Amino acid sequence: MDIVIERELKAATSACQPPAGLDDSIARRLAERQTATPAATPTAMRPRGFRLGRAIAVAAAACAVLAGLAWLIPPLSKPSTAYAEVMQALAVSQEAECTHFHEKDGRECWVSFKPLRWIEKNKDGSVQSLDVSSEQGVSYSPSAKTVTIMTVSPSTLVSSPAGDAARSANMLEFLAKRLQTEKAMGAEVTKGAERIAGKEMTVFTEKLNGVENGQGTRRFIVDPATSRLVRIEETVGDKTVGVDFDYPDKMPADVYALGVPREAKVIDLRLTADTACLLKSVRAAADRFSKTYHAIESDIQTSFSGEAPQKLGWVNEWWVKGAMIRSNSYDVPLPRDLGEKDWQKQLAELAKPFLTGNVADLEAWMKQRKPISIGVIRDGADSVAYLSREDGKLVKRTSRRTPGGPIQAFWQLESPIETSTPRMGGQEKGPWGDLVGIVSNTPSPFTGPGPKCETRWYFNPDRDYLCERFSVANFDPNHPGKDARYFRKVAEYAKTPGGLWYPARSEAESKRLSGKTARSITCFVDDKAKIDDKLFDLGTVTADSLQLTPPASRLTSRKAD
Amino acid sequence: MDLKKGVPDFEPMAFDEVFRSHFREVYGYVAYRLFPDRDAAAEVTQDVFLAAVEAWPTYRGECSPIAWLRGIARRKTADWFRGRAARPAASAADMNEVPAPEAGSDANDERTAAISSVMRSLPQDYANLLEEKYLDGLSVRQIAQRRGVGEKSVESALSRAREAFREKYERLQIQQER
Repeated sequence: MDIVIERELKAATSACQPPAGLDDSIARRLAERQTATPAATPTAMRPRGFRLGRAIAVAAAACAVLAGLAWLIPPLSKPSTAYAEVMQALAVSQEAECTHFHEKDGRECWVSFKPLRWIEKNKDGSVQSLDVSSEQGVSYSPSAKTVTIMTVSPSTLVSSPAGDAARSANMLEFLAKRLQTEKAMGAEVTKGAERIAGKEMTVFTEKLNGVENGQGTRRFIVDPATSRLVRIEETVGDKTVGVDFDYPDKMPADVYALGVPREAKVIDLRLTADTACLLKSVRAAADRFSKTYHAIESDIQTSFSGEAPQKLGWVNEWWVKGAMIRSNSYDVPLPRDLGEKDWQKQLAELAKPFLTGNVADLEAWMKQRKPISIGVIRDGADSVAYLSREDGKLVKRTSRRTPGGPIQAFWQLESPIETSTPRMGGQEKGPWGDLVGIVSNTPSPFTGPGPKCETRWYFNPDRDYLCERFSVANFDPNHPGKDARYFRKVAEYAKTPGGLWYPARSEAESKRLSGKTARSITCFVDDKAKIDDKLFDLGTVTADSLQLTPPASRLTSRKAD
Repeated sequence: MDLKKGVPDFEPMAFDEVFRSHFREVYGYVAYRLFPDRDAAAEVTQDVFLAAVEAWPTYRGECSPIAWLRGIARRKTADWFRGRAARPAASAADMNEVPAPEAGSDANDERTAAISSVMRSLPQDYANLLEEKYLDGLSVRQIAQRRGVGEKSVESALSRAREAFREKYERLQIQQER
């Protein structure tokens, strides 16, 4: 009977085909619903998010290539002789000025490091390049016959493999960062020899042993004559993917060296001088923020309309020490016995203890429970531990997230300001001095050209250029007046014990088709706190350190009166 | 070769990727639950994704994205039936009956109608349980954890659900043979 039930259910659900156009219609509604950047709180340790989708094509493509490379290196290998020899092969390979790798489908990439330069030609004739020293990305579209030049600052790349590469001296350092930070659990490397294309090659085979979702094997093929890596491949099931490497003397000079026609129309989307100057001041202010601090932040929904939320909010605790970051994340779940009537009042009541403005209250609340996830970033690699809802077992996995901790949200630097062709947005009066604005328009993430997304940042020069007001609006010309908006403003500033300004309380409001919601974000930062290095060792995290994510409350059918 | 292909979850997946990847599966599931009302299926599929996009930041990879989406779809189809029940014209019998496919319908429609009819005739909890087990591919342990109950309890409920399914399914087959 098991087989019959499974067969019949699968057949029944796969038999119905959606009507034409339904997917586009829903995509449009999603675009209306989604405020493009509601990441009002740091999301650095969450396993998933929207951030990559917002990167521009050049940066995203660079990330894809470099992510692939990074992924092809065993993420969680055990040190062994063979392992050390792989490292040695990489060490020799990295001495080359330029690494060129190519794939079966005709895609070719050239990479050189410090400063990172990357250039790629695809089978369809499109060409993209990234030059970190000039903070410039170039993209050639063969169908439009246009060359688009845009600003790509290192901060845009900060959460990406390209960002890691930009901070690396060479290929080895880039790859070794992952090895050094993720070697704790399980994969095994063995060494062998194999005749490939008539040549004797050294082959290092890594069995993934289920680590990091991996169930197959990876092979690092090294030419013993040069001791350089010539191929990396991975086999999962019956599918093998691979990249071949060689080491040319120099990089292609520019996109035109790869066949882009000189007569292609050039679209220049680089920052204007005044916008670049303002952004430089903002980034300099962000860089001045303490590199060591302890922060507690709560993000709590305070008003409700439309459908009931999945949870009341969350609390994050952060420890930041240079490039090392630890975060403990707590959900504030909804009670299971929430009444059908007056549920909004009940939720407002539940929110009160989080809004007292007293850090001791939050600390006491956290003491009574365990985090649902613990994240650690060190040496550029980001790992997260949580309990699997499916089997309750401890999961530790790498993810690639923005380093920087909660200060990301202070300046709203998560949003890709440079890549969205911003312009000056004028001045506004604020309670603590005049604000200077930047505005940018980008296509909606769901529908491409058509509905537009407008983002505004207003910085306060008198408060270390902190972002005092931030808004995102999605406009749909087909549904005027029904745009989705997100707005966040600083309601209260405070100074750290070290004398640095930060937003102690912010208020955020989302207006979507389902209704309006408001949230209050409270933050406490102590930049004089003593922080133990043990906190940044994910190896010490056990299943007992964590609480299983509570199942989502079944409240989505509740609607506001 | 796209190096990212076949690299499960290395990079965070944006919701639009989830939508594009699973749109057909979600529609197929909703359409089978609401068969033969295709208009309702389109409407509810939209509701599923609108709810999902808001909840996506809270998704932590505790199950596959499609199992997560199906969970939302299950609640949304239940909401739809509740809404329908609230309308004066509807009756409990209405909700459980699946009209026969129109003349000229293809074999797929007939099959969907048959299974939809069987599943709708089961107690809701049995139908959900069978879907979690046989569509979502969850183990007894996983279902128990998801529901916050013991494995024994899930096993015995599954056994009763299977038996109920078998009874209805066989009855349907007899009717069809006649």
